[in-house]
Amino acid sequence: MRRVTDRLEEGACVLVFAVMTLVAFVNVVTRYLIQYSLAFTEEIVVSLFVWLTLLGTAVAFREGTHLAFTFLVDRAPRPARWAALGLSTALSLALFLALIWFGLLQIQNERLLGTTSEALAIPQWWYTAGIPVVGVLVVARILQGAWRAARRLDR
Amino acid sequence: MTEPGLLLFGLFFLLLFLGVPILTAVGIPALVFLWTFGLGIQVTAANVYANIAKFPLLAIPFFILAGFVMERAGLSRGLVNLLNMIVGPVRGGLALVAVGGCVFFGAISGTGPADTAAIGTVMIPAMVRRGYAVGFAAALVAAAATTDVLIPPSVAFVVYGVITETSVSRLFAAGVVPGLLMGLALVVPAVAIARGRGWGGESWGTPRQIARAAWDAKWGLIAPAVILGGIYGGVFTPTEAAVVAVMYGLFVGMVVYRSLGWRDLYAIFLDAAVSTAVVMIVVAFAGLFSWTGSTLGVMDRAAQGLLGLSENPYVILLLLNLMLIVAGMLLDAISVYYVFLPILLPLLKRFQWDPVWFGVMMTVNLAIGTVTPPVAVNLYVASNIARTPIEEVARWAVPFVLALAAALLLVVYVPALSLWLPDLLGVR
Repeated sequence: MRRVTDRLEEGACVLVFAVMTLVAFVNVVTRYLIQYSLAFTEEIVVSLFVWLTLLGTAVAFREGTHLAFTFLVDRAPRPARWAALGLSTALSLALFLALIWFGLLQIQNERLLGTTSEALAIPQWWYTAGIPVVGVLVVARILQGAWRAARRLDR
Repeated sequence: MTEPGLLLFGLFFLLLFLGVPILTAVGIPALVFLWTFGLGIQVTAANVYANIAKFPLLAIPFFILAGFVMERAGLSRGLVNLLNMIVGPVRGGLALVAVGGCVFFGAISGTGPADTAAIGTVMIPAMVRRGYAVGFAAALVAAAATTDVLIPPSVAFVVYGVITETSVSRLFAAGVVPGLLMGLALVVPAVAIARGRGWGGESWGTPRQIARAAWDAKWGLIAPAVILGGIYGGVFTPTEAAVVAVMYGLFVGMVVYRSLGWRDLYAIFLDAAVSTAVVMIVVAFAGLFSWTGSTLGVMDRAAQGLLGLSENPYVILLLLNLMLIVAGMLLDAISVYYVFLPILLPLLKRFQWDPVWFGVMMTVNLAIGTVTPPVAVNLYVASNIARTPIEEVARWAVPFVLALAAALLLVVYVPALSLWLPDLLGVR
């Protein structure tokens, strides 16, 4: 069970990326063979791209591999490093909680206005839903990553 | 009232120096300013979504994936083997092979770290076996892999093209000569140091062996032709070329070499997905940051401020390059594009600089940033492969950084180096 929850978004990353690659490749082939671009595939790939970005962001938070300038912090005394970890965690949490909140507002608007996507004419909020849904996962991984970093600092 | 721009940028740099992840260090100031100035914070989610969901940006995940596939499939091994038989035996020959390998693999992969890993895993152990200092080997590969950022395909050019609405195909073509120039510039100190220390190479290959090695390396040799030929033959857009490169690499790795199994595939897709996300989430929030800055009018005023320093374009160019070198030491290329380009674009208009040449200049700067500590991704990858402390690698990197800086000066003051090839090819 532990393994499953730990690897949840990893499997999702691979699946989403594989589908993106396949759909994009089929689009290249069809465009070349029948001189006709399947515009709706573009829409699918681009929106999966947003999901992929957020899923991978969650993994990177857990592993602590997001880009950061840690040169100064790594050389600071221990209390300062604790403070920096606390600050990073609090601000990253605030950022993604805000993103989830505004994502939900966006969905509410899109449903109210009945906005549909350009090519497939499906409700736009199906795509936007990726932001709050995967956003919750990101928030969980920020906490998990902070916990891991704290245990390393403790040693 | 104080200038809000100073606060916006000040908060960003403060958070950056405190070790806050870059995505948060750009995202939080953006949110704070959207909130305080009532600029419509409710568009946050839509803005973040739109910053990622751009079709041209799709070239990024696919070129990153292609780089991982070709590296793990072992395409670089055959290339290095061939180069080794041609130039390896001369004194300092392995240094030449390392540079040549990086430049050639640059035409297959789209990022510097991928190139460092692909060539480094083969060349660093090989050079150490022949008596080269391990720090030298790691620093040389890391420095030579900076050419990958200039030699098409290039993830950095995709982002620059999207932000400035410049043709990515034209940028790709413009990067070729400067990329080769950087490679040549590196050969000088590399061979000089290797000769001075009496570091050698392998034995010469017979014509028969060379022909055999070339045949063995054929899949790696034709990969750039497939990718770049596709783009310049007018067959593919850069994004499509990236998708085709992925499929080509998968075909070679799974069917021809049989070096990739399903399990490897899972790891490759996962690693490429996370590498992509790390880039794209910065794109998402840095886009929000620069949108906030532009809406506040900060970017225009900053540009005016820069112009106030001097009206002489050469002086401004020098200042810009110093600024970019420092920015490249602290930040990755993508963040620099999003944070600084809105300030620089008014200057381009004012001095009527060619945006393609300007993009090449900026990208050479930021490529050098990947081997200048404290933030130096290529050095980190190389020091990991070499299992040598980063400080040791950084010490050996000094002559290479100077050589790259010399190449940069040429690119800055001779725009024809960048513009000759795209004009010759007639790429728009």
